[in-house]
Amino acid sequence: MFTNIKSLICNSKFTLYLFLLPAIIMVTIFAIYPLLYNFSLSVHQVDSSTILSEDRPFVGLDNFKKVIFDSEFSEILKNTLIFAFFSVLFQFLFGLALALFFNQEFPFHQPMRGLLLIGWVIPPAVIGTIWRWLFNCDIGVINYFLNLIGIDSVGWLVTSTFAMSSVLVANIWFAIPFNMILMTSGLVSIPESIHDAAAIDGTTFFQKLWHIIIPMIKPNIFATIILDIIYTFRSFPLIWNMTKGGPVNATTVLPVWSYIQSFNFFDFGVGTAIAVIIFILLLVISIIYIKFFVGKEEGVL
Amino acid sequence: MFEKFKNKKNLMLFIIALVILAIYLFPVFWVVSTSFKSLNETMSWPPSLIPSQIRWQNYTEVLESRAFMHLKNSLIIGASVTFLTVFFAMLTGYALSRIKKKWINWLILLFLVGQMLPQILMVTPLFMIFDKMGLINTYWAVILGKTGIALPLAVVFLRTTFLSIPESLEEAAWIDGCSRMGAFFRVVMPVAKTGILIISAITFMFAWGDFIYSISFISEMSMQPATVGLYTFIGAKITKWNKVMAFTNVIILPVIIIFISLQDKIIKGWTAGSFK
Repeated sequence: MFTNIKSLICNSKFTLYLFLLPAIIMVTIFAIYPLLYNFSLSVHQVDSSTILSEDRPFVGLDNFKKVIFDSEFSEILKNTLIFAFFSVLFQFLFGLALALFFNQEFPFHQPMRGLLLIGWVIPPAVIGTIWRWLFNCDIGVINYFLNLIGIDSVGWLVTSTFAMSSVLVANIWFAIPFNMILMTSGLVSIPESIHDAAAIDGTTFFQKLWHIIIPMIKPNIFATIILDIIYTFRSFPLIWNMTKGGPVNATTVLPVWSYIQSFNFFDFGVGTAIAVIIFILLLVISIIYIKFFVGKEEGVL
Repeated sequence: MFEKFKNKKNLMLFIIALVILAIYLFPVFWVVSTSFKSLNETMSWPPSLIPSQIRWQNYTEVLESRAFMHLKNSLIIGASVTFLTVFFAMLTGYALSRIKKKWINWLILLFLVGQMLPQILMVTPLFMIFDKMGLINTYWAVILGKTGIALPLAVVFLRTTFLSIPESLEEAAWIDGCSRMGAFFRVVMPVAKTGILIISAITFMFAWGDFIYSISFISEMSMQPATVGLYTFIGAKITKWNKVMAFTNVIILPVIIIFISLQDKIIKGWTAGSFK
């Protein structure tokens, strides 16, 4: 009798289902619920006058109207698209080039590739500070190098024209390793025999790249670019530490704007409305990602 | 080993690789170089590439005045997030690897999407939630928020780890009379310890680098982690770049050491998290 009960407990799926809960509960409370709460806040008046009170007036889409008809909106949206486009373009191209280069056999190629990944482990906030120093317009080392090759010093972070290029360089520097790793994992999956066959046919490097390598790692390329786009929206700490979105609005992208509205102007309604716009942009990109990639790879859906 | 350099192509590739490394790692070199200079040398033009004198005082002064306090906070936050995340992810990742039902796939999908969410989407609502809970200006606000966003990757990663462990291993333990929980802790965990170590390292590095949650939820300077401490340190002393770089170096050194010592395994973890 007792052994029966014991074996019931032993074999029951109960413990297993209990194990399922901890992460689900934590993610629900501290990630999913805030995400949904975002939507609620974005349609209410939540600013310094109502933040502490329980009853915050429902304002419909007023916060969204405020955002979209703001005179700064078009410039910030443009900044966001420029920042995302050039970040992704260059971090991907450099990542692919470096992956191809370090995929060759030569002494120490693996440890050397490993050292290149250091950029990816440095916290983005700290990367912002490091590049702020490198781009310093009076005594910065980048201007020093430019002077050496006969170019005048540039006011990198203090002029609107150059500030965007500066944050782009920092962000690309940060993300190159990530692209390199993902591209490398694609390259090593190409069987050796294909390289050998190409060598016998006497194809040039670029023919091989275009007609053999790229088609074979297409799924990796696609996934990497989608992830790159999504991750560029995480770039708040880097930009904030480098320029705070300035000078004026030159480097303000949507995440920076959302933060400024919430925590500098205490207009949480507008801040969350911008967050909802970011969320919708990311949702569209994520759906593309899942539809074309995750499901096929894992056989999930 | 050095035989290989006799091959001209090998030598050439090696030299190109060195040049690439030198260019890419220059910012890190510049942090180290600046951090040892005197203020005079830091401000001089043209800048010297290598400090004329190694000045350790930059480190001792910055550590004593502020950095040590901030690093301690980073360690408290980083260790707590890592412990909570890995513990919860072990249980849930294990359950996800053993329950064979169709709907489990939807849960996995939820975690896959969850790991991509940027913190900027959660920071305002979380601020209001923690404010209501009375957790603003406590470590808990950052720890809980960060755990919520670190969990998805850890769950997906550990599920894959547990999938590679044969179930027959645990079943043997059940027959010996120990419960599923006992089997999990005594049989499964020891086998999965490499996976657990890697995800702990990845989670710790992620939590160590937190900026958004920390700067938003903790306004009390003595409780802020190093990333925020560095940010406010510059605000106060904008011209003392030698000390700013000494501070920077003590923040990035721990993560670089962790990364280099577990490099190959961490890379596998990142790739798995992105592609699965």
